[in-house]
Amino acid sequence: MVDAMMSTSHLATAGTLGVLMLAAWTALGNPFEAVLAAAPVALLVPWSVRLAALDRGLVFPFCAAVIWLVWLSMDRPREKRLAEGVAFHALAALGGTIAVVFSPQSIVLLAAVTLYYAVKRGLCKALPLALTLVVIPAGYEFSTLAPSAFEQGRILDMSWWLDTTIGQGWDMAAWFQSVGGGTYRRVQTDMNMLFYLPLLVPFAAIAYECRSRWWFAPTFLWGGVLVGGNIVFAGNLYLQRSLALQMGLLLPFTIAALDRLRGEGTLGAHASSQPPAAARQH
Amino acid sequence: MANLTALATAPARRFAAVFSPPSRTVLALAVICFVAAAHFVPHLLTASSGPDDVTWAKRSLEPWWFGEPRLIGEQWTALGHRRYYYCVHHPSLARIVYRWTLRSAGVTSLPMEEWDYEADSAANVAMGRVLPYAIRTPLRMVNFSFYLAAIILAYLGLNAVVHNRALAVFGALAVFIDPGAARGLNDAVTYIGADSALAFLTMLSWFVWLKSPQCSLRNAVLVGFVCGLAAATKVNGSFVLLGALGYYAAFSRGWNRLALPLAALAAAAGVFLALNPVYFGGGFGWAAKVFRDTIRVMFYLREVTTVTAWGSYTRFEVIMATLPHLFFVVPVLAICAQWRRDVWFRVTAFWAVPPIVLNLCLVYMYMSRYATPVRTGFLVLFMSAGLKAFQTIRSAHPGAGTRNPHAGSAGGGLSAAAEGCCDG
Repeated sequence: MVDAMMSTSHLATAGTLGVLMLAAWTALGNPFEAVLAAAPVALLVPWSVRLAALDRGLVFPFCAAVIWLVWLSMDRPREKRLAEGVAFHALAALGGTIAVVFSPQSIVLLAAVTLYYAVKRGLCKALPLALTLVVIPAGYEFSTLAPSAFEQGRILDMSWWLDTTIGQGWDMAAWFQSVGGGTYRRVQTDMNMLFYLPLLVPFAAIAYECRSRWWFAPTFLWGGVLVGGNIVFAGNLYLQRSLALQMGLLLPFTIAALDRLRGEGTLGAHASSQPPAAARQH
Repeated sequence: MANLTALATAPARRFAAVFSPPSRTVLALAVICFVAAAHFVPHLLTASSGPDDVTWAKRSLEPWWFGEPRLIGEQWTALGHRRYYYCVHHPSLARIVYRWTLRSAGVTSLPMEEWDYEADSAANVAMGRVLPYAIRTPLRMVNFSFYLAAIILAYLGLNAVVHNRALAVFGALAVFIDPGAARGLNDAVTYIGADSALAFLTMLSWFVWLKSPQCSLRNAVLVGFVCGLAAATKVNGSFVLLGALGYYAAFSRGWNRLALPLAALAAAAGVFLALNPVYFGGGFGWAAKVFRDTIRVMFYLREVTTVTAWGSYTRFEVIMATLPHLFFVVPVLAICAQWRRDVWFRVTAFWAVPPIVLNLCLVYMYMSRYATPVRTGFLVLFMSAGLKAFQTIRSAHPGAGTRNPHAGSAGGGLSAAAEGCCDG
């Protein structure tokens, strides 16, 4: 039984990485670069550690990866009409509800997707999407939890709702606290919590260069929500403790960097020439 | 006559140009001093005494010139053995500075015993094996002075690359100050030892090298001299010298590929030996013995440390604890690759990569002061390239900020030196 649960944990993480690679492939259009983009996240996963439970800290990254993949697929220049039609909205409602059932914090990402389309296409055109991606999943979640909240007399207690739903599963403390020796963990926690902070200013430069790419807004908004969620809901700034934080920080900047390395986003080219045709569509 | 005067004052003018214009330099240095003091000094003043503090203070008070006869060890007195051990434990530069500080403060001897590493901490404290506050505080302020000087050198170097004082201040502080790191007794500033002096001298070597990137005999000797000072501070300071040798071998022409590295090596060796007179007076066999013992002590300390639980790490853990920035390797490469043809980048890469790689190969456990040379090398290289990229974007989009006249050319003023780099 324990072995089965272990493999479930590893399987969920492997699945997350697989979906991340697919999403990176969608953004970059190159499978090898997609593998390179997801490789640092794969290295950070403590594969040797056996975890006897499939907690929300593992399910949410999977849902987040799927949401990113779908978001990118919806936003691809050639697939602009995908996010229209009754069939799409029915599928979106079903997928969104499943994601929220497995990891309620997915609703934050789904709300970000809706907000993005509201800004991009206008409020009226985004209303059906808001209904299918936010209202229906949130309504389902509310209906399942409301009886329990009512019994406990906490139906109007916002902190209870936050703790029970979107406040959970942003980090993977249980898994990452099993990594390495005690001294190593203490070093990582005490000394390396914010090591990445000074890197972000130069990284902002490569991100800024890619701002006209079609994948820029979905990718960086998705990453921003994952980072912000870790800070707001989990109070976690420690990269190695949260797969969601790793995804939110590593993937967007790595994709921007790969785009730059490919020669499409060099500073000189950006300053002196027009962006490529695919980018101009936005 | 005017030409002679101009020639004579050229070095002074070049030195003054580093700080020009004065008002902005004063403002930038004030910000650096304030932030560094606010970050480091309260901890330095309140930190307790560490296990190695008494050892280092006693080591510093012993004569660094090693006045004992050059004999086989068995014939020495106990004092002679101890003095020899002090000499081979670390090179001398930090000892010399500490010795000057202590003697200036009127301290000529210490009554307490050294820390017994086999006894527990409470027993050592009970036996009074702690360095008194009035002695450890001046030594830690010496460390702070070295560190502050290192930050200022990082600022001056980054400013030479990006030509933007605000970015250079940010970069210099980001290299040396990590707001998320807990402060302990083992960071380079608090620890009484050679680490803060090493930080200063490695930064000095970068700055000197950056300002004199051409492959000429004068520059090779100058860079070799400063690298020799770094090596005379701590053994892994010599890694910077390896980078310098590689640089002159790679970018010189003809016989200079051999002559300039040899000149740098000779200058470094001369400085090192002058500051470590223990090597003299017994012929080549004696010098070889001293060198062998220096290396042997390092491996002995490694064996002693790794038998304890707090010193046991896998290689992967050591690397990931020391330089977790490696997970961002793709964005880092993307930023650095753009500048690979610029002289400042070549200099910085040759300066940074050998200490990063060799320290990561040799360091056997995480300790903040062990991580300092690795992170300093990485962050100086990355910040130079990253802030340059940031600066170029600002210049390419005038709405985002004031256009910088230097930023239009890749590498700014230091690129101009590229043409002279290989002229010998």
